[in-house]
Amino acid sequence: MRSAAQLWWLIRRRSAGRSDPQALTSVLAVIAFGATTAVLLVVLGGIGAFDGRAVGLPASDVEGSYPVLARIAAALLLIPLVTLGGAAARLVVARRDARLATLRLCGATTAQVAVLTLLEAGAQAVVGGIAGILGYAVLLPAVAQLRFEGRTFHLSELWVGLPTLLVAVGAVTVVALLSAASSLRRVAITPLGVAARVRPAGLRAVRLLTMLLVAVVFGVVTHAGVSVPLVVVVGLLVLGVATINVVGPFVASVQGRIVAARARDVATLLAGRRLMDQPRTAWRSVGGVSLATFIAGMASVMAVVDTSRSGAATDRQYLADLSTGAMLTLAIAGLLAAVSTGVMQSGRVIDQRDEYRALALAGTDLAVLDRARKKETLLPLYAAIGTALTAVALLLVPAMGMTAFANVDVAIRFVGSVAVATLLVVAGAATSRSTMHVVLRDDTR
Amino acid sequence: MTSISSDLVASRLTQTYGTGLSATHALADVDVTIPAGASVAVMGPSGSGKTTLLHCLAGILRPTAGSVTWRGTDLTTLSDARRTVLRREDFGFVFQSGQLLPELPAVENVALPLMLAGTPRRDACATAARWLDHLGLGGLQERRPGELSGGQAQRVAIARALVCAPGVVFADEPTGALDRATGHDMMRVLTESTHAAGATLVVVTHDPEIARWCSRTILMQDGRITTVAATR
Repeated sequence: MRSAAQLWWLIRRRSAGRSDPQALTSVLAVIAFGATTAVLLVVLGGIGAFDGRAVGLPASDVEGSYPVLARIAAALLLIPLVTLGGAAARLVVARRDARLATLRLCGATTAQVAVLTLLEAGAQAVVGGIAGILGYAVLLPAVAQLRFEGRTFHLSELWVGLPTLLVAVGAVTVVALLSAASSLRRVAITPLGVAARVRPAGLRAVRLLTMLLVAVVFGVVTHAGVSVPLVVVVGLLVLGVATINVVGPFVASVQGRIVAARARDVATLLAGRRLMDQPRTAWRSVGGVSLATFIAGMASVMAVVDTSRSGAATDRQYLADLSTGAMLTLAIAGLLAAVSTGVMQSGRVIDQRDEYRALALAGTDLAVLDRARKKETLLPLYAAIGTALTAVALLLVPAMGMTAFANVDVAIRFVGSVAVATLLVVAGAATSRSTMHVVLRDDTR
Repeated sequence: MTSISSDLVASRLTQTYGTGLSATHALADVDVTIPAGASVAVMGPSGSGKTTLLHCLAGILRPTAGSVTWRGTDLTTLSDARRTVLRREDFGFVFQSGQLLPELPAVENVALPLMLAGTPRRDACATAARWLDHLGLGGLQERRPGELSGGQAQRVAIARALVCAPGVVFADEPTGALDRATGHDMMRVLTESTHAAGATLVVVTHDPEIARWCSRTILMQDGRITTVAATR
């Protein structure tokens, strides 16, 4: 353990310059860990603020239910948050193959190599976590301007306090360590390099049943004619979101298979094959959009409820707040998806830099490589939106009825929200273009 | 009517990295003519300028000074985009490793340059399959690079280098990752198939045994050519 730590410190001190892909991955990982921590703290700050406002109020009271709703939003955001943290950790492991193999050749044991990698992931998570705390501090004044219950927040309401700051950094570090350990488990690092990649095992269609099952249970519960606690309904909805992430990778793999079989140009062929090869990875990078789409569906339905009611001012305020909360969750989910996509795409470019270089040297236009990279994002993005729309159709429509979506305002709001989330992800993917150019810069001059 | 020569001609080729006292001359006034259809091994110690010469000849690097003429065109005057097209259409490449896309089966890896040049996928894959057959990989067309041995992967790379009927094939340490027997087998396949295709072959290697497969050898030292000799 001690020797591995010493080795890690030695390598850290001798790290390469800024143009080195290794340094690039470190920067990207720190950005991702930072974004994860900042968003996590903003969400925790929101929960704390609503808790503070609801002190002494019963949960059955309208105002007393805000902490519950804040926790639901936090639960929904947990998946993209953990995904982003995990993506950053995988980035730490990416491109370390050669270095780790060299260390094995020099006599390092598998355990020492593992400790070295975990130390790297942990250190970057801590640095990213500290950056995230700064990001949280910068975001606080903007978040405080949001109006809930008819008033904006005081900064003190949103401040989580030192212990929570430390716990947040600790939680992000734990996610980083677990993801890095899981990435390491999948590669056998031998002194002669990393075990060769072979044809990956396919995903099974049985995954489709999970969403169907939740939809049936949800339909039965909401149409049973008995009063069901809100927490059960919400729990089922969260479960529905979770099934999107089970079904999504399978849909992406089928889509990759179809696209690869029908591809007529190189960019589409590469994108299809890559999607078919690693549907889980592709899904992880855009999965946030499926969540955003699902939340957009819920937010849009709330808009209908809003217009159909003409109750007391408190009711209107409550529904407006629900809508604001949903839109806020949607915005955070979209941003997280954008950062995830940028980080994962860049990681993939760095991971495959030798192949990219060989293609570029052999006369492949950068435009072709750019097109392939864009399609690698867009294809799973379509799968993400399609899967989420199916989930909305299976879960929300039976409960709320089609009338919600027949409303023009709702339709515009829904399509607009999904479009913005999609654009954010496309913008996130565009950042990997500069990574590709850095990777290829030194070869063709 | 004058015919345009398919010799690859470099004259007064200079490549300098850095400036002032820290300047390093990777190539210093190199003159060399590689006749059409010849197979040439470029040898020399590490840092002698072998790979830099190959990169300049192939239009990958634009030299600090001098010219590289191929079929009547000075490569050093071409834009990046024109050199990219030239590399795609006129040249083939075989590297030591990292050249095959891991997601694509062997046949699609070979078909890639044809598809990039606009050949429909079905035709490109049919041509690629014929090349793989020709190089003894008939039953392995659907295998991924990770499912092939090092020697088999290099044969796929050779097929990919030759599939567009290039004028010159450039190979940089193509046997570097292979054992001796597989390396020799690979060189036999590379020289024979390049010769059969009527292409010129330029191989950078450390290994004199590998160089013997070529018709002539260029020895380099400190960025200069010291010897050009017929090998066989």
